[in-house]
Amino acid sequence: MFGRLGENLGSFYLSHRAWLVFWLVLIALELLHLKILFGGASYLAGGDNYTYLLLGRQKMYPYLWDNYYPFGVKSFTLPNLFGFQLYSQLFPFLSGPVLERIIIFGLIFLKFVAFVKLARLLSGKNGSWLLLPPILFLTFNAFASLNPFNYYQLLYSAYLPIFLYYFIKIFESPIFDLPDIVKITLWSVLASPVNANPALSATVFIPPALYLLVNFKKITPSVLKRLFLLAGLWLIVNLWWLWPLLNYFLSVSGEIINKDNWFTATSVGSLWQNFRLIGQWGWYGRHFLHAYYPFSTYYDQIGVMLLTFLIIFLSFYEATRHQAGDWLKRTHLYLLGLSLLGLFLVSGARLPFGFFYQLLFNYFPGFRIFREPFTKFSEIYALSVSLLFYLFLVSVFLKESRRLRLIIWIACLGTVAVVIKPAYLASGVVDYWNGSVRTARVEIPSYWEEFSRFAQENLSGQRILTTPRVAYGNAWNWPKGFSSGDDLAAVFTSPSVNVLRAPLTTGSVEEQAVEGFFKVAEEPAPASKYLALLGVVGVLQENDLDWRYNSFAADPIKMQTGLKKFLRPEISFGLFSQGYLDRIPNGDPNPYVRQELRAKLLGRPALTYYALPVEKALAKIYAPRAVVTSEDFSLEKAPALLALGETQAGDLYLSQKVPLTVNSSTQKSQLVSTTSAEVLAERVSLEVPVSLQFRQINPTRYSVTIRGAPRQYLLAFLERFDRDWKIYGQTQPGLIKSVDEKNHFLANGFANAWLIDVENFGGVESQDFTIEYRAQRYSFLIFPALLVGFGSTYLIFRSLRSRKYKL
Amino acid sequence: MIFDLIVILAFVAVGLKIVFPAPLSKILRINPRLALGASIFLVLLYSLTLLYLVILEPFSLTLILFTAVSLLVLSLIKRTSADLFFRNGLISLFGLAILASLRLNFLAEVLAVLSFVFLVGGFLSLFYDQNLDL
Repeated sequence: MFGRLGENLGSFYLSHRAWLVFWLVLIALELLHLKILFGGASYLAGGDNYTYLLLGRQKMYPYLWDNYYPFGVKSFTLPNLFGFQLYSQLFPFLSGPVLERIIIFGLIFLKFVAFVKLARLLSGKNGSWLLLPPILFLTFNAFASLNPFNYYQLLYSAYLPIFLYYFIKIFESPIFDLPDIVKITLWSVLASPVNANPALSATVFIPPALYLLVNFKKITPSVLKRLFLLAGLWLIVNLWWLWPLLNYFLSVSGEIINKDNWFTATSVGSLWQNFRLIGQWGWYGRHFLHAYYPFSTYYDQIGVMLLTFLIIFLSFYEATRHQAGDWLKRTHLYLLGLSLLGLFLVSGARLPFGFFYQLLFNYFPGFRIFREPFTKFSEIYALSVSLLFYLFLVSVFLKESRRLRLIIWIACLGTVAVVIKPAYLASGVVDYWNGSVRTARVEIPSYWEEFSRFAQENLSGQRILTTPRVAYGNAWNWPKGFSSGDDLAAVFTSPSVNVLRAPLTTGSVEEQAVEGFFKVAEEPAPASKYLALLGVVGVLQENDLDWRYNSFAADPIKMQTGLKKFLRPEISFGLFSQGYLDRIPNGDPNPYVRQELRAKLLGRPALTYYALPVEKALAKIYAPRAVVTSEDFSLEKAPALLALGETQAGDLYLSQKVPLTVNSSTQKSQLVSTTSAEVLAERVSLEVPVSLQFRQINPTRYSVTIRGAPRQYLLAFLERFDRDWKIYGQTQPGLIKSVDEKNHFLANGFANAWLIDVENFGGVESQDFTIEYRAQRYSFLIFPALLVGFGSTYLIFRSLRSRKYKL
Repeated sequence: MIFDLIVILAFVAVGLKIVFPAPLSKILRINPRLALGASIFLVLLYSLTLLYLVILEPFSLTLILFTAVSLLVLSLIKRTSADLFFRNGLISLFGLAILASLRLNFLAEVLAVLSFVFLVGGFLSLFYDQNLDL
């Protein structure tokens, strides 16, 4: 048996020797790149890539109510289900750092494979070594150096050629190509996390659309049938994330997207730089002590500049040459068109055709998501130029003498080596101290892991607030790392604990809530009432957050003094000892700022969790004893009301009068401002059930048991208000109905409350209710995706078995 | 410095060899002087008009119409003209590389715009030739 196996392997090696060596070289090159990229650190993370710290600790979260966001939110990130969540679930035996290495290597390797397949398909040639220069150029060009380890960018850049490859195969196939249709659909599911960034994922359809346009004379009824089947299947298996995403954009963020005050970079850069894949808004910019991209000057050296243009020139030269044969003609025309279309999109609103872009940007619904065209469209341009570069090498190989073609290949490889140097050597990875920017090569301090364990065990299902106020792009004082786009507490407690924080200033309700807390934090009584109103059970003080580079944040001593007035420290994690502080980089040129770190941190814990006394905290679901009604109530107005002695911790705050009909008239009082004698609100006492118990079944479903209910009462539910939150009860035996939407109120400025009339539920005093996020009922849509996943895996294995020992 | 000079010379040599592999008359099948003169004249006329409109009337209807008509005209020109556009596009691209390396960024941008316009023109005329010329 072993003899035969050896024989087979031997013949396989002989027939595929060139390819085997080629792939081994690529793997070795990528492993070396990976080693340089990580630089010996455990994690590579920082800025928007802070999510890598979730690896290994995240669980599958298939719910349409996203608990990661403060107060929860209608989910638009369901595509992430098949990303880090799935990897963490499938490989619980792998640590986060190992998983991150596997993911980055896997995605770059996938990009290699996809490019090879696409290049071979388009050229009709089988040259392995000719692929090396274009592959390296595609993977490590100037654009790729900007974001060298971003998960979405890596996934997208692998998915783009895969999608195009299968699309062209299906289009050009003389037969009904069902296996390829299934494979492309499977890839769409595997690459679904990229859809968490819709501006990026939408561009995947641009190259196939242009292919149809360039080849529209070839569209026959048979091709149309295949394309319709592909579109239909794609839609069915992707509906599970597509539907909530569209739902979210249509209902919540449509107005946000169309806001004029978002950062836009449609007119940044210059076309001559775009030609060589340079044009990001911060390319020549600086922050504090360092340039954003210190290696940008490398690309401006005269020799490097000419060599970068040489590749572009050769690609366009190849595209514009006369070609023999219909297939090559069409391929060249298509790739030329794709390069020019990519360049047009990358250029945004600039000359020479930018006004078309500007028109689309101003008037085409949804086009505003492309507010940073360079980062969204450059991969399309890079892919088409790399394919043309490959075709150039193929034509050299076919026409020139053996000696000359070797010289040209070596020259091209040398040129590429010069061009890719910064990206390959990971110059784009920040590895220095720069104020609020810290090294992306990260080691997580053990106290965060300890806090994570504490939170999972003791705070599951609860809401906490973090101090000091976190801003987008904050730095944490760690020996190795760390800058983050979001609060680390959310990363280390997700998804079981809801963390109230507001890193972005968008006027959101969570921002109002956080601002409100810092307003009332000086006064103990309103502060604890305010936390209760928000459904918060405790506060995490992050002493390791570098307050010096955040104008919103107070220093640890000031924060601790304020919090201790009304909260008791329950547990602390980590300690800023002399030795530990020595290990934390602290490079501010101003000695006063530098010394402040030691002065404010020495001897203090890194994290302290303060618990709100149990008697002052509110459960997520409760029946309020009084309702305070104030016109246009919002969280901004809450501190003024809470400062009044008449309000109690369990009161519910509404901006509209509740149609109470029973036992309320005698218990009304008016809340009057102590300074201006103005009537601020009306407080009405309510009857409450004798007992209320609830259980969280999952983040979208709660069961509530009421005993001894009065004829009418309010039920508060401290998750973000959403019309899809419904409460169901039994109206008569066997008949379950929800409370009418007119009795569903916005409470406490962010939450839900329902007015329950016992008569509507059979008049019984004991009732079982279910609170449910109705949209979750559509989660069954995930099944077609899973079905296609299993089906196509079977098909792929079957086809591999029938093509034994073939690459 | 010596490295830079070698690269520039190599670049110029390779570029010239690629752009002019054979006499222009053979490539364009027309009088070479006429081809060169006509292309320079058209380039100047087109770029001056475009710059004038962009500076004086950015995002105006006139500019949009001008560009639309330009593209339409480009797309209606036959195959032989696609070569003309491509040659001009490549020459502009080559020129922009030289100008950019000499730090003449404004001129490089002008040539980049011209190169892009010519390449788009060539693409459209070729597309017309392959797909619409029924």
